Amino acid sequence: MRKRPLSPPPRLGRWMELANLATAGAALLVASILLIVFQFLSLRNALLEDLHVQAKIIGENSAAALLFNDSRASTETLAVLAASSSIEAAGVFTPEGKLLASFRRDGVKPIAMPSSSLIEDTHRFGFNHVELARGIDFDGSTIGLVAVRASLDRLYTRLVGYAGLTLAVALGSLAVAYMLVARMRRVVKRTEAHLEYLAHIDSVTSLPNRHAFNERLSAALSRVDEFGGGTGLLLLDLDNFKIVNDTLGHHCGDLLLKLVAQRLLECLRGGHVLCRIGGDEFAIILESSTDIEGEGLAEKILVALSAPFDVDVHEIYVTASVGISIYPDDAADMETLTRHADNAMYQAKSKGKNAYEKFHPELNQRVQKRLSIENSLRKALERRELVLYYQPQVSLRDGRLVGMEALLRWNSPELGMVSPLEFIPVAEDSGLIVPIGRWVMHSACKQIAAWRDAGLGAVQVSVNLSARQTKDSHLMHDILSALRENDIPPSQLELEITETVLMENVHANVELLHRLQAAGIRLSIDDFGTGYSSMAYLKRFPIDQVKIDRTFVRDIPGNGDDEAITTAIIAMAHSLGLSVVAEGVETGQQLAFLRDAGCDIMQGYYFAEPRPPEQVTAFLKSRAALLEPAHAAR
Amino acid sequence: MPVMTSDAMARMMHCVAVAMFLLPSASYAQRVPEYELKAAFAYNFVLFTEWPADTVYEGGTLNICINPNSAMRPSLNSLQGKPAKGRKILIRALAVPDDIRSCHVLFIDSTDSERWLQIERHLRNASVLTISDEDGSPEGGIIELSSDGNRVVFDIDMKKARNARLVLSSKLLRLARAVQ
Repeated sequence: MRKRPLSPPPRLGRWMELANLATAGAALLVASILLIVFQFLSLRNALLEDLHVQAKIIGENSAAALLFNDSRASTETLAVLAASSSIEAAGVFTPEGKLLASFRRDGVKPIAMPSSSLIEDTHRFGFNHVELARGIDFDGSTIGLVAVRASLDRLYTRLVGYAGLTLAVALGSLAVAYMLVARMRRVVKRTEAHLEYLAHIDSVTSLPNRHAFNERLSAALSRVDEFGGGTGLLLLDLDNFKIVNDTLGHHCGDLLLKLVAQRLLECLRGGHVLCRIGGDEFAIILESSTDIEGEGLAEKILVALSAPFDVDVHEIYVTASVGISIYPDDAADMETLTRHADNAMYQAKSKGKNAYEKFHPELNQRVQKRLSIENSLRKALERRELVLYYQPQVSLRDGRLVGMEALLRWNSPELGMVSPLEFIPVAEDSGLIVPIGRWVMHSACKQIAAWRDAGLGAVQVSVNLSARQTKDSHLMHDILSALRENDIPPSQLELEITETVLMENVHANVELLHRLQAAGIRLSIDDFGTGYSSMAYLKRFPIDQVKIDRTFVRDIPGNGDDEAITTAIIAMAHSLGLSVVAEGVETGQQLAFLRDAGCDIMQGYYFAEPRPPEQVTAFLKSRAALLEPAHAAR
Repeated sequence: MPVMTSDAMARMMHCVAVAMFLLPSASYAQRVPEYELKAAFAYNFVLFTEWPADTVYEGGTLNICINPNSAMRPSLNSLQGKPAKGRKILIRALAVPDDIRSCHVLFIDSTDSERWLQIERHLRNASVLTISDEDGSPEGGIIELSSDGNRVVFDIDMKKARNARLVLSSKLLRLARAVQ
């Protein structure tokens, strides 16, 4: 079902070809005729010139004979003309018109005394003959005249020969030119076809590319508009293709794409068109499909992709996220249709990947909300809507306060209290996280200084670093300037980086962590146990502390697996000389288990929830007052 | 050239004999067209003859000399003043042969027989085109006219022409009955 390229229909092309040929032929014919006419004129002129020369010679040589009235001698002179094949007859006349001598070939009529008009014109062309008269001058006076008549037969014969040759050459060159043009046209046509192929086909998978996808989808939608029915659009994105490309190389990436395309094709039926529209993005157009068919196909695809792929020596597992939207149910135009399928696909991805999602209006609302969050967030910094809450971290051994974790809160006038789970990803995607992160850093440092200045001691504060911030080249400079401005020792600042962020770009992050550590800043791995919990990496990163993810803490005691993992993490961290923090501690049982397991620090509602700075300040003050006497007693 | 000389002598004798038997006055009327023709020939000879560059033309004329008593004289007189080779022709009746060197053309006929030796002495390789008439000339000139039936023909003596440093056109030579 390939779309026909936009070129003139073949029949018209054929006619144009013939018209071109006819035009070239006509031009050649005109040129040939002009050449023949020119040739005729030049042959005639040459003949005339020749006759003039002959007549002049005859005249010169007849002068004496004329003077002495010697017709024998004059006849002898004229006899030479037998050698000039086109001359038929000639004569020498006295001024009185008396014929002194003549020459003529057999069977032609003798020459007559030229008429006075001919003498005046010197020559006259007839149809078959040319006549020429020329006076004979001697010693300053005209003593007679020569008349010559020549046949044009030879001229015509030569002209016909020339015309034949010219036309033959013209026809020959026309034929050669036609052949060349035809060959060129074939080459051009082939090249065009190839270009057309290249413009519409993805070279890796041999599937239609994005360009072709747009054309086909547009055509499919036009057909729906015309004949009714519906068209489904499936957008499919490979979830971890980037890792394959980065770790195994582009060659393997391409190979994998080819295999994925093959498996996808096996899932399709007639009326389905598979296109590759981006690096790891595929699209499937389902003509005249129903909802169910789209979702059924998506399921089928996810199952088909779940089997491992053999790429070179590697066995690769691929998952995909699929978004589905239907025309005209979900969208009224192609652009919206594609966008909705895209939104659905991202929804599937955010649901945890390897899933499909059918577009539904709430999805759009979610997207709308995300958009409004982004818009409000842009203004949040200026409007001072962002606040840092602090949650105490307490030593499990002696109940001592060891630090605070700074947690970002946003109270938006338009949206109310927005959860960090909602706005942090938006900030990440939009890049707003960088200025926000900078603000958090300065704000936290300022708070440390405020507590110090209020006589509440050196409180250590930990701040979370996002993935985007670790890639910000100004990060180091921002942190150091925040510390310097508030005159805070680096050891009072702790940075928390999630395991997942660290693993995204191990090499760059190892370097960053080394620089941070060299500056004296404490480093902690957040959400430990959720990602690639590689012991080898723990050893490589210059870290001081590990934070066990709250999901493990939630189910202890009672869940044997989580207990085992928690115990193992603590043991391992200790053996590497790292301290361990447990997050989300809410019950006394959890506390007891963690203490038994040897955990160093805990953080959670059991002890204190995150609070705004002024409450924390009050808490610190009351604690200071409590501890004061103890100190005094000691 | 002893052959030629004896031949000329024979012809001279023949002329003398004819002159003795025929009355010039009686034959004159009948021979007028012939004289006219011969005079015309003489004119044509002038046209085909080149005189040496050092030739003197006194008064700018080209002089044709003839014995005052010659029968040709009336016919020759018709050439008087005719243009030839960019000059006018002057017919001179040459009574005494002393200033023969001022002639460019000399017509010799039977009337010159008596003074021939005198003339010959004066001529002596001068650039004078001598035209004789077979019919009574004492000696052959560079060109000798004769009648052949009712046609006038001429012979050319190239040796004499060369001695006189005269160049005769090849066109003229071609028309001559004989060239020696």
